[in-house]
Amino acid sequence: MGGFVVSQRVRVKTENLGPNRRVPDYVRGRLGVVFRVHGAVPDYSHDHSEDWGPLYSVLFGSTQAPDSHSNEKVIVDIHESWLADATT
Amino acid sequence: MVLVEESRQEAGVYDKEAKLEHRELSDGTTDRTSELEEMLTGNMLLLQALLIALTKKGLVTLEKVDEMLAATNPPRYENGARIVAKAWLDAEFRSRLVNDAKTTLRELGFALNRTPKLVVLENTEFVRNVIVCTLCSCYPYELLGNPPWWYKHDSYKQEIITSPTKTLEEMFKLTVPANVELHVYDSTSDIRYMVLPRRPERTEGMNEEMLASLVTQESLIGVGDPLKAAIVQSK
Repeated sequence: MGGFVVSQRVRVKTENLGPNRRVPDYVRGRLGVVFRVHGAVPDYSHDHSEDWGPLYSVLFGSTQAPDSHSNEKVIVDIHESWLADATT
Repeated sequence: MVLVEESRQEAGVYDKEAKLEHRELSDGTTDRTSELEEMLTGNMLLLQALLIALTKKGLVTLEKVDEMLAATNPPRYENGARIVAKAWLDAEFRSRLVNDAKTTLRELGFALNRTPKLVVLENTEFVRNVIVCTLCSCYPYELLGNPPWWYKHDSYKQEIITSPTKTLEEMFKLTVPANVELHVYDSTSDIRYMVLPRRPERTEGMNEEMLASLVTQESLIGVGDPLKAAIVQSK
């Protein structure tokens, strides 16, 4: 785990013990691609009072809706502890 | 109706001025309200006396006080409009803004002390960015003030995620061509987003102020385009 890079395939964990709950249900368990690497964001006092580790913007393909278009992407900010490598 | 008013008046529970039933609140609210009103009146008198004394002594002018009050005004989306206009005019500023928004905007005097990280998303010919926060209502408040009402509405949050093209069409009358990729950013954590929309056509020669007047609040969230040049000029 760790040190993900741009374009790396990752899978969002379905659950994660710990205080960080800020991952929306619709991406839990899904495959995505690292779109942007932010590192640990300082001054994070708004959502949490402890360091949640490196943050990534992860890009997901079209949502499950049957009429969704292939040019539609959703990008979600997810901390490293919620992500697993899915390269293979 | 008259009867009700009369009987309430007789019972002494009717406020003539407000034409409302006068309720005695038993939870101490009435006491606290009158306490606060008394304090407020006292403070207003004190403030007036202080201002008169200061201006008479020539230590401050009323204009200066107004100016200082204006500086404490809450942020508004016009901040974003001005930043976008500047980016349209200055390519070097635009690239710094897109690469590191917080540092770049701090140089312009925006403190952004309560914004962990700010990312400016540049729309291009091929990519259109849209912002949402499905978990709560994260928004760059410190820079743009309050979001529009629909930003916090569940229908927007759900539909922009499940079918963005359709939602933009139906809720915002915005058609996204099939060759444009739609990037919906769900601002789930420490990052706050602002969209840098594309500069409208036929705006050559416009100065920063004129360009800023084209930028709408919706265009900073990505669900709309800036106004067309002709609309503003005819105002």
